[in-house]
Amino acid sequence: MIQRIRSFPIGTTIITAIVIACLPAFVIRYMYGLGAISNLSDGRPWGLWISFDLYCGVALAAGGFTLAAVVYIFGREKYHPVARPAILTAFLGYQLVILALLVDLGQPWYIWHAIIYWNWHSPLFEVAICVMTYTAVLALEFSPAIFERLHWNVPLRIIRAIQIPLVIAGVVLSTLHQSSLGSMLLMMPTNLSPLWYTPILPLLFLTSAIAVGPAMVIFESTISSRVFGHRIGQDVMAGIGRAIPYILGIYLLLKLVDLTARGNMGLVFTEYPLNLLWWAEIIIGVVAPIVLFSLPSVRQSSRKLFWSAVLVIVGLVLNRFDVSMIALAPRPGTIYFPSLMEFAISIGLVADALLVIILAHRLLPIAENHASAEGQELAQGQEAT
Amino acid sequence: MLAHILPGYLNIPVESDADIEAYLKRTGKHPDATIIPQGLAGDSSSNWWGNARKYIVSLLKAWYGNAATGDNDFCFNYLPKVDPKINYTHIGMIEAMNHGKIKGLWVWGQNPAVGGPNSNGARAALGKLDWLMVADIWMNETAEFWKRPGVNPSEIKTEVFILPVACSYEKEGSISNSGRWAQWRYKAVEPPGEAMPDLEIMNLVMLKLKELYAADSRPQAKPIIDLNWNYGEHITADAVAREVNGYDLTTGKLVASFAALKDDGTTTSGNWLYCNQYSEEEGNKCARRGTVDSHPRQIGLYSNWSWCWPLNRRIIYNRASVDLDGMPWDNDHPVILYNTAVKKWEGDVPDGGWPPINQAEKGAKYLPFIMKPEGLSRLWGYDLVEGPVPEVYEPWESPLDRNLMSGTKNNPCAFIGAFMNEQGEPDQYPCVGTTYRCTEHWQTGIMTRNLPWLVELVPDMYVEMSEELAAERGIERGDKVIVSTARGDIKAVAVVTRRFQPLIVDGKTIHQIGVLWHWGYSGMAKGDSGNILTPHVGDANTTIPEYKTFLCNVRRA
Amino acid sequence: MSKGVLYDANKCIGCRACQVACKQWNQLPAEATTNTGTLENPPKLSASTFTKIHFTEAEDNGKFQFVFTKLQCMHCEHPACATACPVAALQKTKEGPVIYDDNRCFGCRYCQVACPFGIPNFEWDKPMPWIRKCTFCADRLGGGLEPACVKTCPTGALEFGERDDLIVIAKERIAASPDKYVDHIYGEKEVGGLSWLYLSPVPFEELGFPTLGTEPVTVNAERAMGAVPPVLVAVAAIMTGVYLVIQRRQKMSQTKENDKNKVEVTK
Repeated sequence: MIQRIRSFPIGTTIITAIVIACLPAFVIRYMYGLGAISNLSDGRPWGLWISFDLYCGVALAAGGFTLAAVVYIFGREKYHPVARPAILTAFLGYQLVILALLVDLGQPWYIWHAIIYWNWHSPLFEVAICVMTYTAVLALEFSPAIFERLHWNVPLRIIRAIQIPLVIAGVVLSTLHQSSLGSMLLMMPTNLSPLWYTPILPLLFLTSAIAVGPAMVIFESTISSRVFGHRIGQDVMAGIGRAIPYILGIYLLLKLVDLTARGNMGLVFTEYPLNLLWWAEIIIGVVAPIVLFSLPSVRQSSRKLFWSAVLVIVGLVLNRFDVSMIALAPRPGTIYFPSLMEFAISIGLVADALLVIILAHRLLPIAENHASAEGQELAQGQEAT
Repeated sequence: MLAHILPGYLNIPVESDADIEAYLKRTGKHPDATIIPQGLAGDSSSNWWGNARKYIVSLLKAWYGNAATGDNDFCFNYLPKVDPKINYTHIGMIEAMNHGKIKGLWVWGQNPAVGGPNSNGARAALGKLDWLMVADIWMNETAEFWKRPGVNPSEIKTEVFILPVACSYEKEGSISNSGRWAQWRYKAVEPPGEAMPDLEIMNLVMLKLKELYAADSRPQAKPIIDLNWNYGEHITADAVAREVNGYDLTTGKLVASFAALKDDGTTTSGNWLYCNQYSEEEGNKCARRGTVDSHPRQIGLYSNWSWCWPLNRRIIYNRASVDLDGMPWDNDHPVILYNTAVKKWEGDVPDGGWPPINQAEKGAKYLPFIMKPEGLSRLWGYDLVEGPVPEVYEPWESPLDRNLMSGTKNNPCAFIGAFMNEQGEPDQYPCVGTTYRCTEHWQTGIMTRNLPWLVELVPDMYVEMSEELAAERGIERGDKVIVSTARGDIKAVAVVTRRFQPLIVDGKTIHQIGVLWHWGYSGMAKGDSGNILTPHVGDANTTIPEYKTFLCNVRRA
Repeated sequence: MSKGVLYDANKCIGCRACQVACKQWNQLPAEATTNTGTLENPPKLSASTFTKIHFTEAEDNGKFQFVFTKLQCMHCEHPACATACPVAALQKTKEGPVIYDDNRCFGCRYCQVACPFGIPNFEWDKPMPWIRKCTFCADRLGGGLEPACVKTCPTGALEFGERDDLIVIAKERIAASPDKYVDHIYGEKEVGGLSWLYLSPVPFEELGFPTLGTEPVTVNAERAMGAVPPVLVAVAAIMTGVYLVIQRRQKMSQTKENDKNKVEVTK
């Protein structure tokens, strides 16, 4: 391990270069304000950062709570090896969200106001509180990895003792804020296209987040197994993949029933050109994955699993961009496309998170087969029973 | 403007006015004023102008003080006399400057480089002066005419003096509105830098003049030496207000009303119409701020708010609002009414305190128009140069080849300038231009084009035109266009609107272009002046310029 | 009682004194504008322009009309911005104004996104930006004065008073001149009612007013937020239940339980 730290592979170099290249955008933003670096305006006050970093970021970090629930609450120990990387990515994902908010908020130094000034009616208040609390929970959930590395046994024992309450808290908090991101859009009945606007948006958000969680785990595990050489059993991946069609099925059903119930089913044919996006979401992110993950041949191939997971992720990203930007009408006369600097901020943050992941994988016992071969064996044994 | 009168509508003397008597006889402001048309009863009017001798004598006493005596006709001949053949109005003045007849010009709070017609001509005329003094609250186009776009400052010999003056909030004084109220204002803030109230500037200049002429024995120095100028180093608006009101020299007290003015030199008054604005008992009445409507029928006169000339009479010729018994024609809105029980007028100050005609004694049955020797209002304007009845004429520049209403196309008495005053023809300039203001800018814009909040509302010079004309010329709303006349071109933003419609005149479609005129090359928001387009043509009686119609054309810039 | 303002487009002459009075009272800087072929300026509301007159050249039943409308915060009875604001920086007061407290705001701009009228604006060019919008001159109202724009209006196009009284006045005006007004008081019912009410000679759609229902836009979001406490309790209970049931089942079916616990601790 020590040997690997000394070497500085080309990928890490590139990522570091990206982070450094994106730094000026941050400097300019804090010196001259949001108008200086973004194409945001009063006509389109929320842009790339909210749609990508907040809406997609939170949803894509859903692997953390879904896997934690599966492993610790539902007792599926088989998935233990992917739980910790999932929690790490979720933890970093939420930090990314918070970092992005520190860029996006006009007065980020007052972000703590959310803790002292409460507005119970605001979905964003709930999101803020949940995101902050959940990030703390994730930190605690992930802390054993650090304590193990440092051989701090006392705190490790304390965390172990409260692990289950922590996981339950994580699930509760995630349920609330994943859905509240949808509730936030309920405030815009006149601006959000009726193809997407529905009172059950919170439920749709939650369902799609639960669906994308496992897909993200497959996605990340596949990549990290390539990059870091962690081996994760194909049966673990296949098992995760098998759950996806059920969740997506529920999601699809909810969507169709809701559209029909509100008499808006016809819009999927008439609401041109937005309906194309709707179809793309449904076909790429829902129908195709349902079919693919149902096929044993797909589940047996790590490559096919990976690409099927990518479809789910693309569908979700598309959905979150649709509801929070593309299908959400701006004020009249506004055309928005993110500026280069906005991209630089988002890319810089992601690259930054990647660096942390690389570092963590090198320094910390992330993949549990490294830290405890015994544990892996045990998990496999458990599946056999 | 008002080049024909002295304060209080007393006429300006002309060369043939050898003395006050001849002057009053000529102007008709005389007890024996001729009544035209003949046959109207002379005793049906109070002929108030018959008192004019009291007013001119009191004015001369105010101006020349102890030097004005009955023996020297109260210094009447100190007054400048005009040549009746010369036009002394704005247009005439610009023409005279061009002909080199005017060497120096004082411009107080005006901006002739933008405000008068034919601005190119006016700006060129300024360059023919030896010296020019501009007193304004901003650097205006007149003050900066020598460095205007397109001219070489080294070729302009005029020496320009700029006197920065205080604006109305930086000095004390009165302001008269068109409803004749004189409202007193107090100083709110100190003027910036070296700026001072124009009154103080005038005082210092006059003190210097008196010093310079003190030892001069030539007769033309006498009016300056004898001028009654006793304000000291620091003049106050209050002292001037008292002087305008006038004094009874026998008691040294303020005169109470113009009825108390005398023609024997024992009273003074700077303006007889303003007698009563300042009284020993009530002080400065212009400063009154009474908010109670004391009118018996509460018609909203608010007579205790400031003061109104004459005698705080809010509505003049108000005796025309009552019948012969003094009862109001409009009982819902009576201005004055006669209380027969106590034999007194109620309501507004009546135009003369005499009883109503039916109640009045013989010889005092006066008709309401008390300033006319016959007591009547006039539709028959026998003193108009192209009268006596109004006539419709085509403007100097007209898209028509004839007058559709009568045989004479143009007003034969109109004043037509000769200097840089090219006349356009309809084949080259088929559109009719007209100038007007917008709400957000004031006059030549120098007071508003320097205020950011108003510039934000109307930032650029613009012209308005119909959708039809715009389509014909390929002009889109917001395009820069050039409006041209025989006298000059201007650049402006096109506001294409349905509020403008083409006119059909004599079977011909005629397009109008609305031209704003508030812009110039000075100040914060700059733009071309609309008056570059207007001709040097003046109305036959007053020489009010023909700003409202001229021939022009428009094209995309 | 809740105050309101009635704007009568038939009385407005488009002089825009209200725009200047607003800037003066609120000490707002002038914007750098250009004439783009209309008499309207600034082009839209911004952090330094809380109100403006919008000019419409409307065609109504073949009759040309030059109609003015005043844009500013509507001070909704159920303001979306106040519901949206996570830190309660925007609040509806019982006197009528929707007020903003910059001591709370952290610049999330949710209010901007949520407002159905697109009113709150942001200081994009400042490193320490705030949300800015019409305050209904709450600072003047508190001193017994009418809003600055109402005070300065020379024609009575703006009328300030009790909202309920203004609705009565508006109805009387429509009834007295049905040919001059469309039979619609914009703001009486829109999104649950607005403190600012409008009368117009032409349909409001032609003036660019959004067509809105009578239901407050906050209804669905507030309903969803109302579900938060029960969902919180339910999810926590279900998860705990599931955990306990599964633990119990595993204890019963598995013999190597003790070994497993040992492994957990060593991890």
